[in-house]
Amino acid sequence: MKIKKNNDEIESYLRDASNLKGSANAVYLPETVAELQKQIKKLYHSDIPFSIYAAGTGLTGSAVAEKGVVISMELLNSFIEFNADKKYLKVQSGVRLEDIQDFLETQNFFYPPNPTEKLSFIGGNIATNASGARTFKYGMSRNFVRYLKLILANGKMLELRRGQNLATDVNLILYADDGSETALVLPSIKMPNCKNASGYYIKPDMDAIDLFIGSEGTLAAVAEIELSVLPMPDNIMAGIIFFNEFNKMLEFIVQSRDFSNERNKIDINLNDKPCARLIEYFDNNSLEFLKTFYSQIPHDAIGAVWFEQEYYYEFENIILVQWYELITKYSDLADGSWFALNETEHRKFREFRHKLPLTINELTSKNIQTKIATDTAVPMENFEKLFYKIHEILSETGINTCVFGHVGNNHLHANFFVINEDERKVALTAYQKIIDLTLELQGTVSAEHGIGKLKKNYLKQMYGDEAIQAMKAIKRALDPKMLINQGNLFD
Amino acid sequence: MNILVCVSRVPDTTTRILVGPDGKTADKTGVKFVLNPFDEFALEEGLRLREKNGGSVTAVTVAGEVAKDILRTSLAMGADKVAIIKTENEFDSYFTAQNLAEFASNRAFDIILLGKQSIDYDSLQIPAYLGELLGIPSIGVVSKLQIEGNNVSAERDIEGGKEIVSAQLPCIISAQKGLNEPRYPKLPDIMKAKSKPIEEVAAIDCQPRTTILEMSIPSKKRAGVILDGSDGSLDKLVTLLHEEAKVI
Repeated sequence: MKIKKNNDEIESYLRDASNLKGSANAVYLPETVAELQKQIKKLYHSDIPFSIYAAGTGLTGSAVAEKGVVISMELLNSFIEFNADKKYLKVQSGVRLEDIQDFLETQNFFYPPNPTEKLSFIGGNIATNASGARTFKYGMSRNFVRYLKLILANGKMLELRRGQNLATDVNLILYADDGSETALVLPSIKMPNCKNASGYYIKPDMDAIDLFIGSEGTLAAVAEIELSVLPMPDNIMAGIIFFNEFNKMLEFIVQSRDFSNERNKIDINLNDKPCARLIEYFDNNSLEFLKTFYSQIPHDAIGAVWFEQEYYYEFENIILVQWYELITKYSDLADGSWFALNETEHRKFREFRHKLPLTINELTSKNIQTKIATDTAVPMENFEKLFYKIHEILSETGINTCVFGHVGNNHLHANFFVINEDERKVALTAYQKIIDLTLELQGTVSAEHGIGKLKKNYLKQMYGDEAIQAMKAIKRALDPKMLINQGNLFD
Repeated sequence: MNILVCVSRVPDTTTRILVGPDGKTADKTGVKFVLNPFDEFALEEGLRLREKNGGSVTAVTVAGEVAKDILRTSLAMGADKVAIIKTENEFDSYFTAQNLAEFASNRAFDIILLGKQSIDYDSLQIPAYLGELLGIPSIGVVSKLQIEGNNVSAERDIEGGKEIVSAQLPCIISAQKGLNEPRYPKLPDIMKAKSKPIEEVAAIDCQPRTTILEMSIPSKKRAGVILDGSDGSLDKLVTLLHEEAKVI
């Protein structure tokens, strides 16, 4: 096992993409799962707090150590097994998402969850239950985890295969590799009925594996993962549709979300109608940012929607005609909207989407500020209220903002670009208003980025103190000394 | 203005290419093919010339039946006509150039545009071959193009700088990245492209001048060694550079 102790060497392990700065004495880089287990055991018995570090691409500081030592997963980066017949891929936790997608592509397969950050580690994806644009059709990372090999805070190993360790009502028993048992009584927590990355996944009769997915490293280190993968669809069409009227754009979003939700249940080889696998939104300010790089954005556009659809080749024409009819109904800019039927164009559309957060991050750094961005989602029936209200709250601030996000999942990112302390205060007040609004609408304070160390207050506001104490009790049952990933989710 | 754009079908830029069992050809299993990205710049430039001067844009490729997909893409971007010079055999750049020259020779094109290279075999030979075979000027790696009447002024990327050259129409221009921003296809154009005919021309018989003997994937880079910043590691660095890398 490699160990790094010099300040210069460990500096880069004390930050993530949120710019939060941490502190640690050393970084351990296990090269095998056995080394990982041995090291964790040693730290536990020496009462030394430790944080698990994946790629450091998180946005909420969950990988940033407060003290103690860091365990970096970067050398646990082997592919273990790919089985095309049974459609799974088994890897170690430090494999990059990009490498997984690239490998699968050579096998004509793909891994549906597709967070925008391709340099993330799959272990980090599991820890935050990552999601992305395709979550609209396929759901979050959780849906594609078949098996986990975990190292608990005390160094015991826990292997969980989906479907094989279920709670009986609220009683969940975990069996470690040394034969010991941990019995948990699951608290009653009402999770929001939407895409969610806030706090533990807890419900009666749940699968034990789901408790660990999205637990932000607070319960165990993820060592190995078996992922469900799917054969690559033969054909994908995509559009970036520009709109000139706000209300009609919202109607289009809601309508295409609803029919796609229905039709996504149908085999794509039988579906001859429009049916999106992702629906992404860009507001007027987002388009203004992008116009610097994309001169072809129509001048009178006030917003845009990007969609992708998987389809059977025979139905290409008939589906295209229907999209066109639908789009002309809601926008005068149908003829100026962009369409793509091949991989080059698809990549350009993805770059168009990816360019936005990149531009925002650059601007934020240029203004010497930390990023202020919401990550809230609400149940489907409340989406229109969220959509209207967020735009209203932002326009009232009088500062530079933009909104974009996964509208298929009723999930929006509001971004604030502040240039001084006064604007910062205004932004944080608006941020709080959006949190309050989201919770009124039975939503979640974090739909995909997680809570980490930066959004703990919002988690508390969402679930209340009692629920937080109950979550903490679960952690304590598995990590009595509270050593692993201290400071995430709760204090 | 009668504009010809030569296009080619290449593996998608992010595809990982594997060598087939014969050791001479790329394994096409699971590979997605696209319009050569440099040809997109050529096509876009052709469309802009047509929009400014009137006339028509023809896109042509030398390939097998499968390449009709990139001709549909060319039509969707706005080409007026497309043609495929059909061959199902393996061929080289000379064969491609001979066939393009044959196609162009009796159709009186004012300008022939093409990408500076195809990103698959990277031979970079076609623009020069074509100039020679057709007896007209060929300007390569063009990142800015101006045409007034018959006068062509082209800015070329050269090592460390720019070069501006002039020529007379008809001529050949090979496109460099940055020449323009290729347009995104619009839905009505995609629909129209579907019903347009694709002209099929039989390839002329012409012996390739080169033969591929072997194809191989570059070996993986050796893993790097990371040393810490201590004094001790400075000695180690010197030793490694001397004994392992053998550079000092």
